Amino acid sequence: MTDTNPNNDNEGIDGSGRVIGTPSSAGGDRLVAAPADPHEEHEGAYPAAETHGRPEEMQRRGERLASLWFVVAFVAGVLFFVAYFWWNSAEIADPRIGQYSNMALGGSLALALFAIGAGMTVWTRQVMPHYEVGSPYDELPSSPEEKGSFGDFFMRSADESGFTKRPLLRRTLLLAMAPLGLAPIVLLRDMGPLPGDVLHSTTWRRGMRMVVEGSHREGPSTWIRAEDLENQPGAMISALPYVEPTEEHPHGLSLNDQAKAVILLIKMPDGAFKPTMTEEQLGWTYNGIIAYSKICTHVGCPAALYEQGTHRILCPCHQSTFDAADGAKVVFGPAHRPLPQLPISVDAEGYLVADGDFSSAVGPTFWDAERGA
Amino acid sequence: MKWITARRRHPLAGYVVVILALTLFGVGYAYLAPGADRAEAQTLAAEATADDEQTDYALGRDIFTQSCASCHGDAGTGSQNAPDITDAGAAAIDFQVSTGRMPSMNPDAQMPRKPPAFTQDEIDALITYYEAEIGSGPAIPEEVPGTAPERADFEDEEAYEAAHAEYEASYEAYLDGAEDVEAGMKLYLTNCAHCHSWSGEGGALTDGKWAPELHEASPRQLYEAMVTGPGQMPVFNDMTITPEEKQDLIAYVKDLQAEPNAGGIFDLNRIGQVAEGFIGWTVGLSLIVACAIWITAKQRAHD
Repeated sequence: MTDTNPNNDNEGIDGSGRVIGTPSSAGGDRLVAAPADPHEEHEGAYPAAETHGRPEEMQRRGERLASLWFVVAFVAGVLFFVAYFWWNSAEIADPRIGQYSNMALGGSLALALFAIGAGMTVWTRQVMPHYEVGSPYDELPSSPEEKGSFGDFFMRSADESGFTKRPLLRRTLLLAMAPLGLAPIVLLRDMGPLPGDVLHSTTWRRGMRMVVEGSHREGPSTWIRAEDLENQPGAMISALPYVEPTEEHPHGLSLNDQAKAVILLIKMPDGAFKPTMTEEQLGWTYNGIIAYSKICTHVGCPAALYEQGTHRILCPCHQSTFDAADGAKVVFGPAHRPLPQLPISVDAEGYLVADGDFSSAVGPTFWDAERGA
Repeated sequence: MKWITARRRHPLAGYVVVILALTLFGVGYAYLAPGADRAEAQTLAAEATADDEQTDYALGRDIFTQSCASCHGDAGTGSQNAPDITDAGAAAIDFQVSTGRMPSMNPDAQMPRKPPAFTQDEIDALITYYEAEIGSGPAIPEEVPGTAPERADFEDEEAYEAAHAEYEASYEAYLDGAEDVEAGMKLYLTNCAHCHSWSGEGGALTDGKWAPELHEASPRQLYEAMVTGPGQMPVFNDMTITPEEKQDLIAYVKDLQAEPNAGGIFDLNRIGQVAEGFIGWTVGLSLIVACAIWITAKQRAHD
């Protein structure tokens, strides 16, 4: 720090040789003064506590580095034009070519802007002098006198208004406000009827047959038979309840109902169910075929990622993992309760049917989701 | 050494050391870990060429004893390294061998798709032997077109051209025969997309396993995978998803395979717009924060 003028790179900008964009030297208003000891003098563009100039060596290095960045920015800017004219507008309509055009345009522009910013940062950090600027806050709380006088003023005004002395005025004013205060609560009624048991029930009823989700089959082949699955350990299929088509819903169910009722039908190999399954849960299966809700109990994604070897059902959204061999208990992930199980059996004609509704509410968990319907 | 001594107290030195160490471990592990690719080896040894005298049965027996029996056992009943294949069926063998997954040299790792070790004739011979001696199961869906014939399997250009034209015709006919590709899309999205991703790019499963990408699978391989359920994949037999529905589904997967990838060199395996946006935001914001830290970092007073 033996340098006496920390910012003495300005040769050539004095007088007639002034450079565009720099302040005039006329008038004697020098931007940076040359203090005798830069650590104690407080002169400079800012009212700083301390001003530190950069050593000449550092300034030279900074100058070279910053100009290198600016040259990079220039080259990238030229590349932007090259990229623009390289492909014509007919070519970039094809996404296979357009993607490269996009990347070249965006990449060169981003590089040019970044390099200008980087050059300026280097300039600031290695060429310009460094200030320490302090600006203390005022005292925040009011003084006790000010607080006291405001309190007196408020109480005197309240007295003068007659708010305490004239009870009729006070009470009728409060009465006038009551309906307005109640209005926002009463207007909540517009949000619709109370949900009641809607969250606990789905379309499934005892005796309902099942169809493959996404299939457009017609006639009796529509319905899933027990024999379609029971001889095929490791088989899985997404299924929906069969409901007669209506004019409004050509596939029988509204999308909303489909989203709630959809199930995974899985045929487990013999002896795969774990001993921790309850008698009731085993009673809800048919010949190794088990039905779980496909809707994850975390936030309701369709969890149909079934691994036939480990019997795990995964939800692709947040990796909740359920053990299909153990009543879909959660073995990993953010879900908090098992996938609801659908009791199934088989009817006289050999079709798989539901034996009632799900064991608990389907979809994301809420306060009493585990209560049966 | 001087260079290091001068810089070891630099504020960024710690980060540099951590990054170097991580890179070293990562690259070192990738180099030392048993690569699945290197597991091909030896299986190619079964170079039993189809002599005229040698029947399919004998050729198949040679291939089975040389390349399959060491893990699956002489009778195909499996061992602690490999599953019982007595009820796997011809479709499973055709799928596993024609996609290059079998023979596997590393029973602990999931095999990736790679060039098959045997020609289609050799696979057919192996299946002949399997059906005669080992077991039975789902048959090969002969009506579904398999992989295109290879020039190397034919003696002259003419025979190859003819076989290729025949293959192309059956391929076109099969895909054009799909009645309702939209229904195929529905079936794909409800049953396949969870694991193989909406774009057919595949995805992660548990225990380090993964669902493979579908970009190179032939229609027959797709069909065989559905009816046999290789690895962790569940079975979709012809009763739950009928052959016509499978045809729709395969036609949809073929559409997916033809879909141009517009992701440039940073396509992130087409994991989807939301995830791509999330990564874009996270990486982009981190870079912006890093720049802000650089710009505003406190400077030492007496440099």
